[in-house]
Amino acid sequence: MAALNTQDIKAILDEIDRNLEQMMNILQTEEQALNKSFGNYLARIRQKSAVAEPDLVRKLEGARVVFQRGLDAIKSVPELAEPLRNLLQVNKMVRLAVQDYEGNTFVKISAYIGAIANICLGQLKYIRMRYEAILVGIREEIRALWMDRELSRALRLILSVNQMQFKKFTLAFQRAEVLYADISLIVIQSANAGFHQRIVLRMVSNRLPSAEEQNIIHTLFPGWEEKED
Amino acid sequence: MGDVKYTISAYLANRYSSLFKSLNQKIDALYGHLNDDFLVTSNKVKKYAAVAREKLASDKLPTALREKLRTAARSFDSIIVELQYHDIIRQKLEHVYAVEQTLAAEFSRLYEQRGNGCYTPQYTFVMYDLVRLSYRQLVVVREDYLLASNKIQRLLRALWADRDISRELQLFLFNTAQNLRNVIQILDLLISMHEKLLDEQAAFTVIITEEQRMKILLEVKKLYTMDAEREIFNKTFGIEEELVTDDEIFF
Repeated sequence: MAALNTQDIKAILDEIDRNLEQMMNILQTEEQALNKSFGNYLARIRQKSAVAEPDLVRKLEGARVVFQRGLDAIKSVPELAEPLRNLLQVNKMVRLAVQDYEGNTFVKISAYIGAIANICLGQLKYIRMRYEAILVGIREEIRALWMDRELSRALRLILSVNQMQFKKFTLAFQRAEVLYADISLIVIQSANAGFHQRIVLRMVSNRLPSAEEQNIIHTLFPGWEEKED
Repeated sequence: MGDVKYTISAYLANRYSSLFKSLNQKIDALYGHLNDDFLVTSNKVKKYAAVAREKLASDKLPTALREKLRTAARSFDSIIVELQYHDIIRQKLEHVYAVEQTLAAEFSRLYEQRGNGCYTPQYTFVMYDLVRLSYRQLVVVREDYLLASNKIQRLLRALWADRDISRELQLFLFNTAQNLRNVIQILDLLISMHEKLLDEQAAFTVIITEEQRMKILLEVKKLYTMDAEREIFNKTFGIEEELVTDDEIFF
């Protein structure tokens, strides 16, 4: 890890990109699969409610609320692909700078590659936390419905959250996380170190525009925009 | 430990939580390579030992060759005993893993709460001591591995050099060089990452008394079940202790 090897950095970035893309694909397919599954349950609830005993109708109404809430919750799953796409843009920026090895941009960016990796780590953890929170919430509510044997028989209910997909997502996240962590160990001695931080943070910040993304940058670099060079 | 004063930025907590996970992911990969190394060697040696025993059961062997094969069988048995070093190394790595897993978890919580929670870490207060300790444990693991691996290769080479034995047992020098390279490559990476972390010493401030520091470190010491590990611990922190048991098989 001692010397900067541009080929190593490019290879690491390529691998991170592959993992980010896999995470994006999983978010996409998970949303579609859950949408279809919850839609089917809501259709079954409508059919059963027309002919069921009052006691079961009451339970079906409870289930309808759960699945409707589930449908609303998973609407935000594809939104999580957006910050992942933004991370790809940050990686692209670093990759271009690395290619421009002799250029000035490289000096600026490489001196802060640890800082950039740290921001990406923060973003990545936030995305995972959001995704996990959505899935765990849905899973708990459906499990509670599934525990009612009468209801689960009537709806032919199975636990819809795809554990394999979540596991794949987690593995891709973990791989990207440790690769960013490894990059963060690279320290470049630059005559201009400390001078270009704001420029580099501005370049990263431009690629991470949402309020949540900006908030993470401010948590990691409190007051960076106000500092004078 | 509530009275320890410390300041850890979100930046460091975020970075260290992932870095310790990264170190442990590399230890996981190392387990895999060590296991491959163990399987290749033990399977080959078991096969040769079985052939030697089979030949010895026959009454048509000339006396000189019988004696050579008997010696070879004893050598194979001793190699199988030597291979236990994999188990010892694995245990040592597990102890490094456990410490770094706790550090990763503590930094994760510190990052998640970002100064707003009431979570108080413990190992984090002595992080650089623990990194120094892990670094030294890993350096010794590397030495142990090279020593044991070379000894096994020497024994095998000596058997192979005897043309009678190698012909009778159809003994080929099998190549464990790639396994060795894989293991050493990851160990070197782990060692250099620990060095990097040590260079960053004092990246965050902790005001802790010597008594508090030693209290945490002695808790950590309980993890180390082998004398060789406890010896490194004692040397690292200047503790004098007579280690009377001899609980390890060595080379």
